[in-house]
Amino acid sequence: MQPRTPRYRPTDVVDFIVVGSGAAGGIVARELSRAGLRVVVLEQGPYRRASDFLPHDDYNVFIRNALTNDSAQQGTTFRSTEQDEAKPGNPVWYARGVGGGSVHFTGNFWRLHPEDFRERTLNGDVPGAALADWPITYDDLEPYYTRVDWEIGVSGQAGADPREPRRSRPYPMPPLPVKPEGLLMEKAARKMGWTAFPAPMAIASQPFRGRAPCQACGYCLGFGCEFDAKSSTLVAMIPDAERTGRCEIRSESYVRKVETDARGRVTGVIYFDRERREVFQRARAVVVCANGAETPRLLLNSASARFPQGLANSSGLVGRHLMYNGNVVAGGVFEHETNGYKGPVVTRVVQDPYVLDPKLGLVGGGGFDFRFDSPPLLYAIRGQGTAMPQWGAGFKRALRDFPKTVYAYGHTTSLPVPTNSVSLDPTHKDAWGVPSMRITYREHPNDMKVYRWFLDRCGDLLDAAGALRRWEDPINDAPQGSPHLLGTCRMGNDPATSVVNAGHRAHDVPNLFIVDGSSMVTGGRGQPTMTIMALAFRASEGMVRWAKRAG
Amino acid sequence: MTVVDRRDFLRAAGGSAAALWLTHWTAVEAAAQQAARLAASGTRAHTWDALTAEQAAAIDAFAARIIPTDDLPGAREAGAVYFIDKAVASFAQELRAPVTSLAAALDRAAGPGRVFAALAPEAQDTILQRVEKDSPDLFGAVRFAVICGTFANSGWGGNRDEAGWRILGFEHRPVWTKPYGWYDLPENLGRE
Repeated sequence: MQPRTPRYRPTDVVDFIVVGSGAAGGIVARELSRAGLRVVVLEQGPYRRASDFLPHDDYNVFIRNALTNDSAQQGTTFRSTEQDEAKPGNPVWYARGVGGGSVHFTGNFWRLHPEDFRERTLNGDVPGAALADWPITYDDLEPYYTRVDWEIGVSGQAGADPREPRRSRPYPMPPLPVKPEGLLMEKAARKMGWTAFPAPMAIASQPFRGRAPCQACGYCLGFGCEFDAKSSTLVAMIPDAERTGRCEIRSESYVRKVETDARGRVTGVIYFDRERREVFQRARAVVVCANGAETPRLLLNSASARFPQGLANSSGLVGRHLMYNGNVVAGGVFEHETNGYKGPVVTRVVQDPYVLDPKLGLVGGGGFDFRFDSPPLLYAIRGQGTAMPQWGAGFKRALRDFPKTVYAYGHTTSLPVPTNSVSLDPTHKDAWGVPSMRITYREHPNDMKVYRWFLDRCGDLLDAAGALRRWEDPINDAPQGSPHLLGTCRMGNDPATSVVNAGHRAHDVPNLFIVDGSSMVTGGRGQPTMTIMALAFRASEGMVRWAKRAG
Repeated sequence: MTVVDRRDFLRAAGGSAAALWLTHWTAVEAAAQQAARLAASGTRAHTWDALTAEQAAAIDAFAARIIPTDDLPGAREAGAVYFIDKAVASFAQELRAPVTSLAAALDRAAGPGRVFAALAPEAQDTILQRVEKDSPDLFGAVRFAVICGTFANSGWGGNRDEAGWRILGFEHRPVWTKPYGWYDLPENLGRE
């Protein structure tokens, strides 16, 4: 860990503390520090560089959780309903390290569509769900999507998607070279009357802002990029923030509480440093960007005499409406080698059922991709789902399908259900002695039907592409290991029904901001990171105005 | 003088010699059991970090049934047992209990005076089926370790000579260029 300048003292009252350095936090840190504000970023994981992502090591990444949370350390329990007792488990998957999940993501950068912001108006009241319109529209967010394209770095082809929402500029880079799976998807989509178009990906397809383009090493989902080709905030934002001389990235600093004074204003945060000593860092304002699971947990762990339900929680909605996004998978084996282990994960997507045909009587929609995301060890573990023989000659034969295997993924909405939540476990604690997060999650019946519809179409797509045989992963009513953590501090205009306002400021606390997946009112169609980044750019502008006004 | 080390013996026991053993089983069984005991007693054996030679022999034989050897290498050639020994000794000590329990259970199931490693593959498979049914967690934990030992980077102790990757048809290179596979070969574009 080389020292970063500047080094603020805990007693220095900096302008902003940013909790978390991921998709949102990295952008907020850069935008605030570039506006002249003094910023301390507190990141629970370590500060890694491109060279730290070698060697490619799937055992280290997926089994030893080298880059991500580990329930034995971070403390996570799971139950299906509020009547059940929660048990230790791995219901959520999030990154620990500077750059957060943007370091290890696949890079599917789908914009939301205008209808995603108006789900309540379009669908009415759906029993068992708390559908609401966003307090902002697609047009409000469009300039910030464009900033993500051009400042973070997205490859794609404007105009290729027949349902593409309005965009004010084309992509800054052409699409990544199409993979064999992408060609198969084009063929399948044609047969089904759909359009497979070049996937918008947060991966450089040509040299971009001093970064190398993708070298097609194949170690992408779950891994950091040793070429800096993946458009993480680690490579696209954090260096800009540090160059200002006003932003300190303090890694291995785990925030356990946001402190408030008698007036109900935030005064700073208490965190554990890497030696597990408690430190109180003072600040004029705090931005929580800790992800849709850690953010509500931190707010609930910040309860005080003045905020007995937890900080920013007068609505009682902190932690509620957790959405994972639907994710269904079918796999197929083809006649010839696709060698999906080369290149990025996804190169073609289909979004024709972005809004499901009303005749189906279902709320929601989504899209598909053809991909390969199983490096050797993962393929041996789960490469053919539950269809895979477990041992012996049959297992060996299945293993040999590795270079001819293609997965069809369906990515869908999931409804905001009030009882699907992040709360504090009453007994379980993490390795630091802080109350663990307790996930309560059960799919809405509408969503189970949406997943079934999408999984059937995944099978149709594989058939149309010419798969020799195929299988499907079962739809699980208690999904485990979701990386999409959305909706738990929803934005809105009414303090009774939302946690933050349209500017991401907590309704209850004047100098507390929250921006990450938790801000999303509805979950989009399964690829939230680009929206989280656009929200972060937009929220940062408001924070800068607020800070300058507050003097 | 030919020095036959444990690994060579184990390879012979589960590899091409197996077919021969099937046809002449009764004749060679006593000799095989004796050889397995000698190998396990191991004056010339590999120095194990955590396992006893007897445990290692049982786990290696188990691994060879999980991913058997055919025209391509199996878990035995990949050295999954070496990964497991290292894991138990250092980076995955939670495996110690299941690994030692399974090794003991396999040798127990082989019958009095016998060891699992020297049974015929069919007899070993019968035992595996029983353990899988009766103790699914135990079976699953060690099966998982065998898979990790076969396919994880060789730095973790297994996947020797990239034997596991050869089973898959996987090649590791730091950089790839198109065409990646059959479907994007120029002569195959637009074929269907």
